[in-house]
Amino acid sequence: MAGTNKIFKDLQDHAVTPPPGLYAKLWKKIKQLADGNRDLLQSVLPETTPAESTAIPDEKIWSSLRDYVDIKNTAPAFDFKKITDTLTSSEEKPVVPQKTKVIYWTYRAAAAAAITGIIFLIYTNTAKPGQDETVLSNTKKNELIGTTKTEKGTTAVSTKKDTNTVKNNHKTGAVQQSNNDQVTGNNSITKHVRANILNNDFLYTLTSFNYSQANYFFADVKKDPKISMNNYSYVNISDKMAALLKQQYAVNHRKKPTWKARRAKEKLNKWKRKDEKNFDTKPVKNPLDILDLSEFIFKN
Amino acid sequence: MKINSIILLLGSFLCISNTQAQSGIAAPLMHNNFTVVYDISINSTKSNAGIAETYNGGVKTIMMQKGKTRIRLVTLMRIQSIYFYKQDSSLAKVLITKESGKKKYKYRLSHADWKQYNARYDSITYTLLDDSIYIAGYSCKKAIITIPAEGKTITAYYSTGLKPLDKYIEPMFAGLPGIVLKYEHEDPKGSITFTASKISFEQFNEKLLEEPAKGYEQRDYSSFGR
Repeated sequence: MAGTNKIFKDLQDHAVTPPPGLYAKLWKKIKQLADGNRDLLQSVLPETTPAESTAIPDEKIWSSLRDYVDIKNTAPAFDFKKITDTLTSSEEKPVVPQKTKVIYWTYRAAAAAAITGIIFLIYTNTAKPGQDETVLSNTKKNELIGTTKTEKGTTAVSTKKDTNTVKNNHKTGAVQQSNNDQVTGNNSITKHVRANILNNDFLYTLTSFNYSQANYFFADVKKDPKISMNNYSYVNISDKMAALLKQQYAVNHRKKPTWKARRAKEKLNKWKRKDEKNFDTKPVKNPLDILDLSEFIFKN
Repeated sequence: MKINSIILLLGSFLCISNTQAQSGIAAPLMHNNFTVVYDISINSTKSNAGIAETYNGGVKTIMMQKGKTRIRLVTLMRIQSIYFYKQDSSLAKVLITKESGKKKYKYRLSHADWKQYNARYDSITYTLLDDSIYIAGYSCKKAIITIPAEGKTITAYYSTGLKPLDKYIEPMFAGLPGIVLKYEHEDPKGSITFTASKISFEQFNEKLLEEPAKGYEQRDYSSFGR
């Protein structure tokens, strides 16, 4: 019974004021019941006869009820000290079982949340088999890149928008090609992929393919790591770099880039910022100088 | 007898010509038109791809024609050039340009600026060794270049069969009696090697040596110091 007092206290907080007229209706109901049971009314008002009871006003019955004492079922003696002791002891003692229960539920909730999170991550980020080389990481430039026709004519996925690329870039003020590029105009970067190296930026271009272009590109690079900008300019792509670039095209079941893909892209952006900070903010460092280059790449 | 002598002479001539070509002696020493392409190879101790991979596989090209020279670096990360313009057989102007990215720029340096830019190589020492290897068909000798101020060394392989470049073009190699066809630097975390893969004496489009005009922001070099 230690918690009894608390239960009543809690119930007090939930007390609701009865709607108006409830008591009147209730009393009417009691009276109807009492009409069928005269003994009950007489027990409340013992001095009245059954004949008189119907004529008794309601107020009188109410006031009599207030003073009514059931002699047969008397209440236990009122022991104030006992109740006070009980209350004091229940307040002082920590309710250990309840606390344990709270902690228990906290751990369970945390564990459930963690498991749900892990499942969600796996669900959203795991690439479906056969889809790990797909989709673009940067939607904007699909139109710039198309696969080129081979001598045998096996592949010919070249978009119409390709032809307008240079014009569009001029419209936006971007310097599409350097002096060198204007000399040649050869846009085949690998055997099957044709692309304009936008702003002469290889990294930007190589992270901007769409699904089919990326597949062609990585298949080509596997056989020949040479990427051509024009007749005069080319770079070779290392296995590690190809793997990192390929990782950026991994998608989950919803065709969205996976967490690893996003991370790879962030990594490249971070490198780009570091490179610009090192070589572009002040012309004191020279990437063409083997010592400056070494200092930069091995410290980052 | 006369026929035999002629055949013998002809054979000897061909044989000598071939030997000279192998060692690079027969190569034209007049570099009116000259191009050398270096492949950049970087070995890093990192197991995963690091920033070094964006330069690994890059290409450095030196192009020379009619007193103009351009050194161009093409890598995944960036494309950058240095132009050298001569006037009356002395260096008149140097341009450093960044050709990649949205913000292309160029710095114009005077001869004095360029000298200051490469001041770190003023006190370098060269140790010439007898070791030799063939690079791009040319016999090369080994040299160790030491930069005492920084405690760094560069191993270079140079060919005496090719006329040395003007000393201002690559100040690091100014004291070597030939063109460097391979050079490398080792760091505790890896190494970088530049190796010549192609040498050409053919004429090329002169536009490649023209100062880039459009789309480049002109920056002031004088406000910086190396």
